[in-house]
Amino acid sequence: MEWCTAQNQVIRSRNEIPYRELNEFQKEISDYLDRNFRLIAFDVINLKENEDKNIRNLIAILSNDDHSNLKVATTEIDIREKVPSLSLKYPSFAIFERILAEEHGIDFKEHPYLKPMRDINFPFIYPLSKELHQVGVGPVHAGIIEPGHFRFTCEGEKVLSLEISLGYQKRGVKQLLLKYLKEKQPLTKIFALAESIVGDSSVAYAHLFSIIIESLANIFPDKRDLAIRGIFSEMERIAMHIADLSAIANDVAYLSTSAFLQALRTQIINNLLAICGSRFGRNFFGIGTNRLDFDADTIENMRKNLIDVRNSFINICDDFFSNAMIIARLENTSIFTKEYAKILGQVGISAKASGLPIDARSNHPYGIYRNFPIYPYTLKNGDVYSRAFIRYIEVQQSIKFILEVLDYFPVKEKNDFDKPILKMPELMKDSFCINIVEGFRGEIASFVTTDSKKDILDIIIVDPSVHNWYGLSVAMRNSAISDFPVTNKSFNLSYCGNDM
Amino acid sequence: MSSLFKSRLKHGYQAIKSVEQAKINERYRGFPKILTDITSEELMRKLVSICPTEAINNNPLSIDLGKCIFCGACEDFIEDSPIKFTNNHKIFAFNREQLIVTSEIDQDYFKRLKPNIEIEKLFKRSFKIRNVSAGGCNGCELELSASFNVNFDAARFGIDIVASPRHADAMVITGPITKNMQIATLRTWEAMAEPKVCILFGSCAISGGIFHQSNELAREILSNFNTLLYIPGCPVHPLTFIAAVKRLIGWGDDEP
Repeated sequence: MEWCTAQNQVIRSRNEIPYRELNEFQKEISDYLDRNFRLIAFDVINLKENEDKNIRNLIAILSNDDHSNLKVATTEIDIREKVPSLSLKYPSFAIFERILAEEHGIDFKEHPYLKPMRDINFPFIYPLSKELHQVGVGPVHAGIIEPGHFRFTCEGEKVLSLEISLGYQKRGVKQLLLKYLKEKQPLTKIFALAESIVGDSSVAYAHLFSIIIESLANIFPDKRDLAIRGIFSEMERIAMHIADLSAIANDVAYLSTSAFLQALRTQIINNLLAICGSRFGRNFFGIGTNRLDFDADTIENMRKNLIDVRNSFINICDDFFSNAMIIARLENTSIFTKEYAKILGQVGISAKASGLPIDARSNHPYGIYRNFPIYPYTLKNGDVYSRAFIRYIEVQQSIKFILEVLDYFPVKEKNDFDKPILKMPELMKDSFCINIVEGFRGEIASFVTTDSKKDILDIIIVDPSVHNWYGLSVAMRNSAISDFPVTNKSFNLSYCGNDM
Repeated sequence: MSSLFKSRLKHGYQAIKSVEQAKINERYRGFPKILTDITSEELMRKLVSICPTEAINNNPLSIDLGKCIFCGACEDFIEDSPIKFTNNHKIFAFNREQLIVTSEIDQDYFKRLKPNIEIEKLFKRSFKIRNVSAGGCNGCELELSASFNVNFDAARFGIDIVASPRHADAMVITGPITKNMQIATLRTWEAMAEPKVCILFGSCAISGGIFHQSNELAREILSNFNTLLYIPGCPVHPLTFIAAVKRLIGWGDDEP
């Protein structure tokens, strides 16, 4: 039996989501996963109003990246009963089942390690052998980063296992967001909160929320506005990739590259500041249109700035990536193979560096990427060098994309909106919509349903970090503990995106 | 090798020569000027309801910069708005009440504020900072680390980040302080040697910011800390941070 086929940004009726009994549901999931699908989200969703307290609706969203297909189906479970776990066969479910067990008390039988995702007091695995020792790091780290605890079990210098304990950043964002959406708060407030879900991906989250609300309300912004959104997203990607490369260079004590790249990042984000008043591109996106349009000066300055950044960037990276010391340090460090990347459902940089071409900008194109898709480059090695090199390629791709869009900049045709809408527009009733955008870390997926009163019923947001944190701990296995800082920087995952 | 030299030549000297003279782009939303006190009830109601963080209060019209996230909604979306954001980035206060801006407050108000304790002798040339991210979205964290990069170079004022709270003079809190971070934050403070100060960095740390309605916060622990500096922003601009800390440790307008 086929599941409901959906596309990114396309609104469908809520009744089209097929219902399956639990055993059928799980069997069909495994059929799809064996047929080149991968898991995007697996969560509890509120599909019916006024339901029984002990009954939960589970939803699974799977994606076939080759055909831009998304498959959705739902099942019902009783939280008093044990549910068979899919994690042993498909480890990409492990994180989602842990989240469900924590938030809804669902007991997955045969789950290998049902540790709560956001509980900081849960005990760690304790090694019984006297040959092993443990190293604990965090939650307050030596640098200026977010809190998280890492517990290494080591044999000498070699890391046997890394247990990552997150949850320190839990701010209840999803509940707050749902509350604001249901209360129909001003959209500026919803956008401000969405941009703070993950503050370094604020453009990607604003982009996500603009397409969520626009697709549910059937609003079609002008192509020029879409182009500007694409440009903003790529500017954020350039800035953050440069920051990551700078951090990697800093960790291997190659300080010249680190300093050069810091200056380059400032150049990019100051360009964003000159357009919208925020170095992170905040408070710019809106529904219907963006707060500002680009004028001729803005376009000219941006073009000049990007060409300048590209010249400097290629020069800096040319030196960095061909330096024998850097190659020796980064190559074959913390290898993460394609097999692991696939079964763990990795997305974003770590997938691309391990040979999986997963990128929503071409797999599930949205907005301006429908006209100017960006195809992902992949590397095979899956080591720190590959993850750094993918960033080098992506920055160049993004600069090329922006320059191309600026060259063929669409003229404004529709003037439906001279300003973004402030009040929540009327949404389609009884609908659902899947929206995926590509942040600099990877795909940010969302699933939204509306009820018969045209209000938002429930929302699921999956940050790429939810998939990828487990990848980091697998990549660290059998690496030296001294490789951790540079490996961690090469993944650069979000703590607050995971904790929400 | 030649590309390294080329990059170095192009890089040149990047640091902002004078952080006191530096101006941020005109689009930047810094100090909000309240142009007029007299506004209709209708306009006042609109202003209060549009603010995402309840920073705007009426009678008389005032903005609490500790709550403001500088989104500019009150300026951009309301016709004849009496609020105008300027690019003046030097906004900071030494106690919470000083952050409330009314129409009487002018651009130089924050310059005239004096730190309430004389800590100049202790810290003037060496002020070591330990950051605790307590639920921050990584925006403030990135801006705090940007304060020490080649462009802003806060280290020239003796302000520096240290890896351990044992070495720190100040704890900089970013984020709204989540329940799960309260023990870690308290322990960091306990681990620091006297004399010590606490700095609240960003609107989330000062008031909870955009997360103020969340029930996952534990903001009551702030009363344990000796908070001497409040730096509003969402996120705080590095120049704001440097100007604020300079004022706190007694550099005033001086520069090296």
